Amino acid sequence: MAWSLPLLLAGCVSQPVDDAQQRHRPAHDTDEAGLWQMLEREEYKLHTSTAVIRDEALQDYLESVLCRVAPAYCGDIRLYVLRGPHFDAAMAPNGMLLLFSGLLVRLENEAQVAAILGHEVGHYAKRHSLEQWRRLRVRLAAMETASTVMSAGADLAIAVGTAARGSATAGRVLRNAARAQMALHYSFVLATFVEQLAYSREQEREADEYGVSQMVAAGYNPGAAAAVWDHLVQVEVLTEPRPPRFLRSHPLPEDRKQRALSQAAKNRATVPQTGRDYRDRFLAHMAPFRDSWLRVARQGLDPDLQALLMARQRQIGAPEGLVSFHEASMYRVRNGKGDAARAMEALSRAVRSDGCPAEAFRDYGFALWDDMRTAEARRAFEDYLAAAPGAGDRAMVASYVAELQ
Amino acid sequence: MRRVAALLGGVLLAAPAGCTYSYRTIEPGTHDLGRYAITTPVAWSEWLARPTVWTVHGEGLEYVLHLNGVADGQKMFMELGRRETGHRFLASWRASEVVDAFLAGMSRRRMNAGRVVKLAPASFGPWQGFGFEVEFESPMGMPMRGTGRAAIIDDELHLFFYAGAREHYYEKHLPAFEAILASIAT
Amino acid sequence: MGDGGIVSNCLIHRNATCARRGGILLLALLAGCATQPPLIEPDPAWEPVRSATVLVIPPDSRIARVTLGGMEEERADWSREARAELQDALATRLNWQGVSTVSYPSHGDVIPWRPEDAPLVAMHEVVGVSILASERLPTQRARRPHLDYSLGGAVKRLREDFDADYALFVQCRASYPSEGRVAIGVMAVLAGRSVHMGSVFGFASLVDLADGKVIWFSAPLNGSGARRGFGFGLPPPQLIATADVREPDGAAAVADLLLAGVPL
Repeated sequence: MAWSLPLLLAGCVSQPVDDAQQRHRPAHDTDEAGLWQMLEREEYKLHTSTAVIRDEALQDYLESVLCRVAPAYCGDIRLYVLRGPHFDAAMAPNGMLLLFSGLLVRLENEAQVAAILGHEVGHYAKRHSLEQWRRLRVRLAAMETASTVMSAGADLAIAVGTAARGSATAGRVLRNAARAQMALHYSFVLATFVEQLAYSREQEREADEYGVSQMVAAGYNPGAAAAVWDHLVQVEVLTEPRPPRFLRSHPLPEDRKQRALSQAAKNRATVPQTGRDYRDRFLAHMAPFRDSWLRVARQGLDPDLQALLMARQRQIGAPEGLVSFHEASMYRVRNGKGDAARAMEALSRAVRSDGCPAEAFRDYGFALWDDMRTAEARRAFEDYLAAAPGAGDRAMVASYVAELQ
Repeated sequence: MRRVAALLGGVLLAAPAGCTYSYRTIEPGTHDLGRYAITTPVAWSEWLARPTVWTVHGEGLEYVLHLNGVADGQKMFMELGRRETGHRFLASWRASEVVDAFLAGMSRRRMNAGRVVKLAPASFGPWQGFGFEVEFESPMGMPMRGTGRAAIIDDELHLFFYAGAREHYYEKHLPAFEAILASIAT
Repeated sequence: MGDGGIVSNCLIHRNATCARRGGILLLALLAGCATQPPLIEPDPAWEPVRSATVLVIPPDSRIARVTLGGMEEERADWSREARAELQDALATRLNWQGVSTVSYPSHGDVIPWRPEDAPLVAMHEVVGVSILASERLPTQRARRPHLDYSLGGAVKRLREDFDADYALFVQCRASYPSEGRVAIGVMAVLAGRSVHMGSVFGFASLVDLADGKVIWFSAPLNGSGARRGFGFGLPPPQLIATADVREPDGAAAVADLLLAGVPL
């Protein structure tokens, strides 16, 4: 009865917002302008941040994908690539789009980037942040009103009861009423929280759908979206415990994958051509960054997730030398039973393969040294110094060479 | 695939961190740290944790971290109000692995986009160790510089790390930090 | 150091204890703001430059509305109005004291500073927060009010570009209740509770443009409470602490508080 009031009230007042117009700017006296101001400040910080990857070729390429998948908002969205370990991207209501290197390093082709960008632009186009913000405001208002009215009522009742001192029982009943009121308040909080999450999931579904339809229109293979969610499933399986559906801000990745597949199938029925993946040109653009992004992505990851990351690199077709080097680093840090031998094997493979970073020679030297193969170790260190003449740890490694002389 | 505004909403609902910090003064002079002693020319405010933190102006501007003997197999960082973070230290590590693991641990709390610019052999009191220099950003987005000195002594990691805002603060207390490093003695 | 966030937090997860704690905290904050002396004062031997000129940097202002439900919602229009009013009021106040000022021209609606000066404003925030938090540090507590903080040598550029000796940096965060929130406030009074009606928080630094040293730092605004004309019977200084920086009168009152005791 009383508790249904705030929810009813909220239902009446929160209205949906229109899609963003091209070149949209909120009027300065609106809540939306306030929201934009907060994000504009964050965006401003990016201009001096060392976390932002500033590379013209990479930027041009990703922006071209953005404009292809979302031509309408191409001029409204500013894309930033940030160094960060996670499979993540973020869209701010003012048009600031963040792509994390941990995402790019795990994608297989351009269509998958297009799937992510299409999804994020969906949030912008549907002005989801504003919608969510307004909804929260209305919910909290309803909650606060109900709660204040009830607490004023309860306080009054307690005061009356105490003044009357009629019977101890009456006092107890009133105190219990106050407790009940408190319990109700917390139920509102919980209901609002759960409801807000459900709404967020609905928005994610909307953004997913928007993304896939944009991909189809741009001639991308819409199946790439399903592949992205499939990777999320694999990541999640390794990060137990998985939260239940109703406590998630996003739908279950399995559900997203299924929906993407059925949407793609529906599209195939109407649009005969299947769309393209553009794998090679995507990988060529990512190649110069893969080594440094893998270092960032590995930082702080559990060994299981590192193993998944490496398996993913093989699947993507990253150079053998690079993957083997990172595998070896993972084994050396994990240091479980048999890991030393695995690291040695991976390093000896790395130094003979293409795409091998100079540090592989140094680490190979360590492994050989651990194995008492000092002459080979010294040669590996010398190879490192030759391959990386400007390395920061040059003096350190030179000291190993001298020690092994 | 999140939206930034969701975070802003989250801020409203998040409970305030009700932590009380308790600092004590490290006076100028010689201090016994167990395996070795150091002499500091300036006073620091000390916050005991793993690693131990010393600061003059506040941790947003400059600080010294001290890992006083992390045993083989032990995690390197244990910060207040957090689970243990970062890799377990292994006594078999080389300098570059120690530094990588140190940066990985720091990146969870104090450091964004950390980058090693120098790593070279250096003495740690009477022991042979290594020194390193890094550049990074503080969590508040301040460009920072850092320099460290470490050694593995009897399979235990001992490490001093000094960091400060690139503008003004790093330079200001670097001489004091260098004096501390030079003073390490048994 | 007070934290208005705790007060507003209580609103969302409210129970009797929390509300009471919020009320006590509120009073503590207000009591504090009337007496808080400058945290940094120059050494007794220090003397200002003869006929000094002060560059008034556009204040870093964020002004929010407390919605009916207690949520702080930033307002772009209010933030801009407050910035302009405060910058004027600060200059007027200094002029009135016989100090000549130069006004830094605004370069944008949300971000008023030149791109090359943005790191200085960011530095001022970090340094300001560090000074406020220095209460926790025994080494700093002992030195008050002659703390040694600096924005660094990069400020010299301002000295050359604006031909000024000192710069005044101000940070201001404030929030004011919506009409709906005021109604909630009235009901809360009936229920014998205090609720978050808004807050004003700010600090000012006088910086020597020769070397970046913070000569003087004051954080007198650290209040949370009711809007003017709706004061729960609080005494006048506390009302000034919650003055409306969006309007000339309120901005002037806030400028007076912020600059009380400025050594020029």
